[in-house]
Amino acid sequence: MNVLVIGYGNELRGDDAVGRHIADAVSEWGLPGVRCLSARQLLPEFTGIIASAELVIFVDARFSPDGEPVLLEPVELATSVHALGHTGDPASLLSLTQAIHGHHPPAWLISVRAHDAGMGNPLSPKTSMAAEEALARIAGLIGMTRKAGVSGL
Amino acid sequence: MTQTIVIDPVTRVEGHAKITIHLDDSGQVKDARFHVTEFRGFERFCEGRPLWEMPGLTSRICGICPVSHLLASAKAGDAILAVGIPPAAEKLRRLMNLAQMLQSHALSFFHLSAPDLLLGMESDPAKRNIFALIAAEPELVRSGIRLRQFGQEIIEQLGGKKIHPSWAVPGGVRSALSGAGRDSILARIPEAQATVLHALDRFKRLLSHVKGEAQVFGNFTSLFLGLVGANGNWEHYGGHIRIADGAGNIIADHLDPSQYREFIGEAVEPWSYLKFPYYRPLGYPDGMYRVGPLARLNICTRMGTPLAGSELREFREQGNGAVNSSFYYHYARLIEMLASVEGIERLLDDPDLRSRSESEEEPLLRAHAGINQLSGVGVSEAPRGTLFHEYHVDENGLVKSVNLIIATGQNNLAMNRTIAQIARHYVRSPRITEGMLNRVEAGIRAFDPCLSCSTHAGGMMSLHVILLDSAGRVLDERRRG
Repeated sequence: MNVLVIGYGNELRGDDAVGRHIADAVSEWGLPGVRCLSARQLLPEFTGIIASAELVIFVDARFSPDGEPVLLEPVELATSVHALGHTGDPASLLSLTQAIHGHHPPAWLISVRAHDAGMGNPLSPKTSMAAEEALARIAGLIGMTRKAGVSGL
Repeated sequence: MTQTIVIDPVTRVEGHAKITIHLDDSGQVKDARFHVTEFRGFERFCEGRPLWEMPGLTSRICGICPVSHLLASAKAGDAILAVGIPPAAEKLRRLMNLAQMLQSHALSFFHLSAPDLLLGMESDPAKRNIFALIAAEPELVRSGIRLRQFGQEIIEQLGGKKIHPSWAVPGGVRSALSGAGRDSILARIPEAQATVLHALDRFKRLLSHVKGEAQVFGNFTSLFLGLVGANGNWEHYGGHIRIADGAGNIIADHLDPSQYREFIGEAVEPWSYLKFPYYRPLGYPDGMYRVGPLARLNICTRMGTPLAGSELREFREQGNGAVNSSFYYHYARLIEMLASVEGIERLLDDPDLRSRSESEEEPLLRAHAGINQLSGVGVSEAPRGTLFHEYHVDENGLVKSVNLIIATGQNNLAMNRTIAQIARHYVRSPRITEGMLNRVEAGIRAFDPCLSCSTHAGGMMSLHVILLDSAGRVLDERRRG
């Protein structure tokens, strides 16, 4: 089973880096068939490795005044994408993958509520705790995928 | 009554800007201005920092061309240390600069400009996007994405990461290219070359269809400035400054880049944070010059590599002595991509960069010294044009002052003139038409401006156009992005 975990954010801006911390942690699990990518931002160049995966999990920080510490949402194809810049969002990237390669894997977005984007700061205590919950969700997704024998679209 | 059209913000370029187009009483375009509205202040907040931090600090001016700042900064540091860096270090820096050139130009052509060029500027903006381009030219898009990725991976192989690599330092570089890295790069050269050649072929096939556009697309004579090698070859890292005019005549040559203040002045206007560099002997604004791919191809004697050299000869048929239309920046960019791929392959065959056995010594990569000069200038060719970093330090190496002349800034006067020319051709009424918007945007995009660098600002750019009458009343207003 081929799973891709992409954590993205600015490693210099406190909680904005939580996606990358989580991707690094998943990488340390050393699970066979699970590839992790820690990136500053989503890039069009990721379409190749996304197309070759059977499941993609995006992990990012979410700056909102309220809401659950961790949200798990399916990523749907974007209804409109204007330009191919050097930044992107999961839906646009998935759409680009579909357009270029003719298929895309099922994809999920795990967003972790962020509280502090201070320059050079470590993860805030609340976001650190939420990161643990996110890791549990990812473990569940990977486990669910294995049990259900989900294959790529 | 006079009117003003304002485009704010401008899309599919890096940074923030707006455009105002001023109409006279008869509704004709009197003037156009490219207002850059961002300010970041690197030249000021770097004061007091140690010289050794400058490559890392200044590379963060931009996320698209950080390598350009990294190298120019390291070169300024070399000058302050008063060292000649080891040959292997220079070759590695050149390798990274070529990779930077390749990935940045690939972004510009395939990602930012291809929808305009290949789908047509009259096409519906809602459909003039990457998905329509994928449907029309799937392999072109796919290969273009891989090409940019290739350039970025070379940077990562050398510097450890694709963006803001901490690698070039005053005195040299931190690490060599591994044998595995060299092999992986070499393996992808054929695909990269094929991608660029295909894109060149595709672009040349549409040239006959865009002759009319090219005539009003920043088509005016200007000076052209850039680095050339000792024998006049296309150059991207070292060499000397050469300046040519719009007829292809060399008007200044063998200029020492470190003495840039003798021939480059900087003017300011109250309506933009972007400075206006000009060629001093001709004054401001008559000393307007252009830099970047179009300039580099106009000033060089030859490309120095076989395939790109052949393309240069064909490129020069688009002008008489010099190619003046800014539209041909796109063409020049493609040729530079080809030269970059050829140059990368050539460097990888260099003995100083080849793999070594365990018994062989690694080449020297760094010259070590203390502060030996209290000022230094580092100059290199960024993808968008010539880049100058000047630092003044104290005896402890703490920065006292910084002056940066950025590629995009040097094209400022030319970008303004390009917008004015396009506007004069396409503005016919007090209404802002899609066609006019498309072309004004495309005119700026031809320069591939990095406003993140030039101000030295950040952010995504979008387009806001306002049309004003002579009394300042808004006649029409359009926003994009």
